[in-house]
Amino acid sequence: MSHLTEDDSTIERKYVKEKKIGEGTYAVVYQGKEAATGRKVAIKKIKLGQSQAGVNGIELSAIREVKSLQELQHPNIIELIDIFSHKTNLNLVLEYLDSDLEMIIKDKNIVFMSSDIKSWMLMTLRGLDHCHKNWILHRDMKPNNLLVGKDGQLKLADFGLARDFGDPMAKNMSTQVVTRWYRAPELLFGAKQYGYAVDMWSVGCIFAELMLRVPYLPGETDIEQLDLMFRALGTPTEEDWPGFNELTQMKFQKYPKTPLKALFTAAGNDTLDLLEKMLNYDPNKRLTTREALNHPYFRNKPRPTPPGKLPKQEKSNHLNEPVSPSSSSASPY
Amino acid sequence: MSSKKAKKPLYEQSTQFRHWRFSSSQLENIRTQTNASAVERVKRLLTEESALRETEQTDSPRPPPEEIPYLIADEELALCRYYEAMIRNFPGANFPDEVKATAIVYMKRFYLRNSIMDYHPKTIMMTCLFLGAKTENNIIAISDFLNIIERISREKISRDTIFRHELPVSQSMRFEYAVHHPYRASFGFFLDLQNFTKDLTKLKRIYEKSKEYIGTSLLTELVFIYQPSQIALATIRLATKTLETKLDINGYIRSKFPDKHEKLTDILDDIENTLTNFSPVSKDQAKEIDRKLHFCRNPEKNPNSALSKKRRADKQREREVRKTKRLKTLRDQQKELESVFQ
Repeated sequence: MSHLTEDDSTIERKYVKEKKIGEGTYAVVYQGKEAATGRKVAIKKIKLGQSQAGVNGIELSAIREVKSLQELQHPNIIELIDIFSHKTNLNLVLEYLDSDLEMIIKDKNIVFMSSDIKSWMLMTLRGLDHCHKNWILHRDMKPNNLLVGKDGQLKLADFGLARDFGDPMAKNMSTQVVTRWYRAPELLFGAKQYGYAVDMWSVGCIFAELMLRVPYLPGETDIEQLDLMFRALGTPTEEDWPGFNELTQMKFQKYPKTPLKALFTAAGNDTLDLLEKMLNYDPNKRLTTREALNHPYFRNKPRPTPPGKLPKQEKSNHLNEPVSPSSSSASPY
Repeated sequence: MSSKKAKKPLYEQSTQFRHWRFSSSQLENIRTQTNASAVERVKRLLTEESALRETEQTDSPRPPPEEIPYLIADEELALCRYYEAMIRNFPGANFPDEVKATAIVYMKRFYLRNSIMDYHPKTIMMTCLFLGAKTENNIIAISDFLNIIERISREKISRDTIFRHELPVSQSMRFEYAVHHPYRASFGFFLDLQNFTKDLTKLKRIYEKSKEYIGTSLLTELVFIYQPSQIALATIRLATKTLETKLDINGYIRSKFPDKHEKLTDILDDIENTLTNFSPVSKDQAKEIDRKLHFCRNPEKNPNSALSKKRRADKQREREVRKTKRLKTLRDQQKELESVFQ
């Protein structure tokens, strides 16, 4: 019965906040530890109803994040260790991971082997598969939200945009989700009904970024995003994406489809086949997490690097870097 | 329902399965305990309150705290049930079944840890409905919500009342917002039964009736005791019986679950019993309990009670003492500084 009787102040006393490591739009993140064990934790303090002067009570994003994380227990998803409220704050005690895939990609001292990329992809897809199996869309997949621990394990984090998706006919979902560079074409066209495929598009972009070491489609505006996409993958036709012509009144320049091989010169055929199927314009034809995990790419050689042997940063950046409040991207949370 | 792998079924990983499953006797124990500790606390606070009132001299005479007939656990439960039914029949906003079901479950979870002597179920009912709409992705603007409440109850509720209770409700549920209901499973059986019989009209009637029974199940203990799929199957079975459809539902169940058929039948029988024996709490019953409740509410939760006034005054005094202290320290430091330069 301890579950019903442990109160918030008891939980709060189990943890010590040490220093601020990041600040986002609706939360401040502290590094801290569990007093009894010394285990490092991240404490995400969410200000309740402050941003909009309490227009809707407890923030929707806080509710979404908590609701999702409470149900998801998986080695490739960040663990929500505890939760307590203090006055008008909600505090999520999360496992602490000191690096993320964005920092690793940007660190030019690190050389990636194709087996390393395969390992990161495998862990990303396993975590995402678990979300989708639980009817949860992540909706903000990007390297910055894929945290990496000292043991090399990669974990999906930041579920502030996640929502459950039990109802395949759910309508009126917001299209203002997913950071633009990783945003699926159906979202850019403002589709109100979309599904798991939006997360898979993002994973495709991350896959490409792991090979290129720079963001694959870094559009400055939504229109430029589409233009970049069409240049890279060819402007979709009604045949590529049934219903495409009805999505928009806009006329786009017709770019031809160029083989991915032209840009990803070092990649094997299985790699390119998987990438192409993740970046399929038609959400209905885009791979599901299950299909992606069953793709020959993961069975073919080289074998994925064991997480403990993956390359990591010499010293983790954000422990030493001062955090400026403006750059929410400085924090992996 | 499928048995593809030996891995733990997804449902068993849910917080609902891990933390919100109880036997009937466990539920009874929890409620008795919650009630007993509330009675003890409220009695103590009312004694304090009446002492304050004596010195303060107030108008309406109240029974002395030790003579008040405090609510017993069954009465608390009955009043909760009455308000749960109000959620089920909530007329405005077109909330889907899932939102109402989630709100009802939130309310049930809340009152495992809390007493109606501390929190009136009317307030908690509204808070749970507002919160449930949010967690089930059916968010409604607070102003619209309050308008609906005002229209149906002719009562003005402030948004602060709702917001203030969101946190205690969430805390009492340990922030476990995800709730699984029998509706989805019932729809699953509806689809699956189409392989069993071709009579779609009949199936649709069964499915609709099953949803009605699921609504009833929400007003019972069943949601704490059985899994959503078990409740769903029981409502389907019961619907085939009451509609006299002559669908061989037992044959279907036997073919679907050949190994655990017997155990499952026991479960389904128990659920069915609860559903057929269900009787709603009447308005008179509710009124009677509410009248009793009026005299045994926690005075700390009433901002106009003498006790609340005293608590506020105490706090204010404390703040002032601290402030004077701080000023004094500042002045001392200042003096010290000045003396250095003299």
